[in-house]
Amino acid sequence: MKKLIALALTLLLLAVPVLSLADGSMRQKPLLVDEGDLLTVEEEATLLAELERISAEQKCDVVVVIPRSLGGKSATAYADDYYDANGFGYGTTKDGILLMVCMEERDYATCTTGAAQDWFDDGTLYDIENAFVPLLSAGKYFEAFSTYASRCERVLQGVDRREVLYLDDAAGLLSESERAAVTRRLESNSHVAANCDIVVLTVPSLGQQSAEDYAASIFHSGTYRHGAGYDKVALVIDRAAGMCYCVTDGSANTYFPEKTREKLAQNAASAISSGDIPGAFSEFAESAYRTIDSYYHTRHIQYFSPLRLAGALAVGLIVGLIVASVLKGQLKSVKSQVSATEYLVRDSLNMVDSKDLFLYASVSKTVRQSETRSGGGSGHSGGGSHFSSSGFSHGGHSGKF
Amino acid sequence: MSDLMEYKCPCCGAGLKFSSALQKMKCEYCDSEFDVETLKAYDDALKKAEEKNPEVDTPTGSEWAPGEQEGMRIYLCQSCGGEVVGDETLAASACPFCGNPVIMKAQFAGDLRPDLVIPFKLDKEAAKKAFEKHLLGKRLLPKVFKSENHIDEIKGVYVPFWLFDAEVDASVQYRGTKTRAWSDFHFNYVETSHYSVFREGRMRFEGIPVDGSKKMQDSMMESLEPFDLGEAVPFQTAFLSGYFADRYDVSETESTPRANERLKISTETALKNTVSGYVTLSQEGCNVRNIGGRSRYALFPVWLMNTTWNGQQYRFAMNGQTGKFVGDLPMDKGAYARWWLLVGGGVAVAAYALLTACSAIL
Repeated sequence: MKKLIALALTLLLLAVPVLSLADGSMRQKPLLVDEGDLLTVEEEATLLAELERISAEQKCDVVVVIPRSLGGKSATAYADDYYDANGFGYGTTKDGILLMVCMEERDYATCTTGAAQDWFDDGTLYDIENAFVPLLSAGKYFEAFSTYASRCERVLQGVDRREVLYLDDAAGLLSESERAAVTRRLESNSHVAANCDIVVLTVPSLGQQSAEDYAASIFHSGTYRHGAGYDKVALVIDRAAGMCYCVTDGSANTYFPEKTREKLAQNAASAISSGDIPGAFSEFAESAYRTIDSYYHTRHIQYFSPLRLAGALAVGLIVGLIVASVLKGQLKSVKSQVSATEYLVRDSLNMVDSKDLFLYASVSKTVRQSETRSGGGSGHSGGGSHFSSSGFSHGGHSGKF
Repeated sequence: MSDLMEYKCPCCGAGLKFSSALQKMKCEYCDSEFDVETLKAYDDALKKAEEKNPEVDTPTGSEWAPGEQEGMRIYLCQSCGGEVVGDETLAASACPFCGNPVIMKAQFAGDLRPDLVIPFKLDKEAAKKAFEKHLLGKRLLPKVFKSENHIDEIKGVYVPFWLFDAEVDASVQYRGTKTRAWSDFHFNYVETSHYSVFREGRMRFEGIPVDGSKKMQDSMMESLEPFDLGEAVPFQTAFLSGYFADRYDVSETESTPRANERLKISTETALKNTVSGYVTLSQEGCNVRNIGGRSRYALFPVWLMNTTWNGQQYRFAMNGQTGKFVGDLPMDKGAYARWWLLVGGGVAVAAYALLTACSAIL
């Protein structure tokens, strides 16, 4: 009995960290690493505790790293790679934000990953950076990092935590593992395709309800969160009727026209009838992604644009005028000489006197601009998403302080 | 005593001409050739002669209206007795009756004798070919100008030039700035240092040519530069035989300002090239003094061509020594507009396609 109790306790002790890791992140380094020695030991301990508290409460890693050097990488690349290499981030999407400050280069970069890319959009990041960068420039490092942490916490507290619904298998067509795999695929493709969620909904029976109404009732029920302004394309499976429907929400119908929707539904129906339900859903995710991707790469082609036409005509007329003027210049060969340089006897120049007298010096100074948007702080670069060397998608900014 | 001078062939008595290909005197009738040096004796008399106005031989039976003879010189050809009429600067020509080359020796007597002459190296055929080449590749040249164009006249002319040698002492004052920039955490700094820069130097110019003939367009003569003075030889009238020549009618004094104008610019450039390391440099003052020099009178070989098209006369000139050809050509305004629109249209289409492609990629 004692052995059993001892074994149970041992298992419990082992399970606690494992459960903790499963719930939180698989991080291999602390949330604060100060190789640049900008903080005192006390400050470091205080800040680390604060970062751990915020990360645990908000389910989003808030990381600060202060390397001695960037090792030849750009600030953004270093931040992205450091985040990936050390296993930061919560959940399957590795949600988290990292601030990297390098004193050697006087560079800083923020890196957002997973859902944090949505939570910390460009405007939010600018606001955060505008708060801590002047403190960095002033040498108030602890205040700067504390400000960063508190601003991050404030943003995370306001985040809508409802989950995005990618798969609702109400008809129970998939096993648990299949459901997880299909969800990952839908989620992944929805992220990459940006601005459009790809969703699969199965229902035991639609009854008198249309597939469009059913999908709309899910999307707008408030139970699940879908990105503000996000379009949606959904595959709706009516198990009782054995029917597949492809429906859209928002402006997704502009790039999923009726024919495309019919084709997607037919393909899914064929695959399901052959018994490969997970394959049908994955294929739908891929096809929908390809359609969205194709639309995003071609939708901006406006073959007629008055502005572009005016610009092209202006360029054409100027180039034409230059060419015609050059040709006109070929006809004229009579012109007076300006100088007599070719009659200057070689090496005959004999310098008699040569003086360079310093008169005075004046110094002007201008405030270093952080970025044009707000007019304070330091120079920024990069918004939008980019990829680390390990291939993960990140958001964030970089700049000098 | 006659004012005309002709070189007669000792063999057949015909007129001798200077051959640019042979660089010798040649008789076109019996093909005899004579070295220029052997004919130098003809010039000795000229060297001793005083400058005087040539006597005007008025042919009997002719009556000139008052003032009509001003600026005109009439000479009698020693070969055929025909009248050679020219202006007061005509120094070498050909008899319009017998075609013999004639040289008005009084035009080279005393102070009017040139110091140097560059003999013709290129002949009339070379000038014709150069003219044809000059018309090639000119997209805006009216096609009918090429097809219908006939040269009215081609003549080899020795054009009088003044050559100025100058020893120059020049000083130039500049204001220059240098900048240095650095930054700290808060500010960007730029330090601008102001300097007074002074340069003084001496240099020598040799042979700056200035056209000494009013008949010649100055810009056209300057376009023909450079002439290689290394090939200039002491003047001998024999070189003029078979060509036209004018004596100067723009004096050395009148030509000096033009030489000084070009010399000053080159002097300033030479001194400015000795200044380096400044971000900005502005000239505040310049003093160029001519501390020694001389001028020489020279005859340079020029082929002149005239053509008339659409009632307008076009003049071309070729450096008779180097072959450099100049002369403004007429423009086809329609072709100008076509090129502008065609090139402009093509570029506009390409630019539009490029912008469309860029907007699709971005």
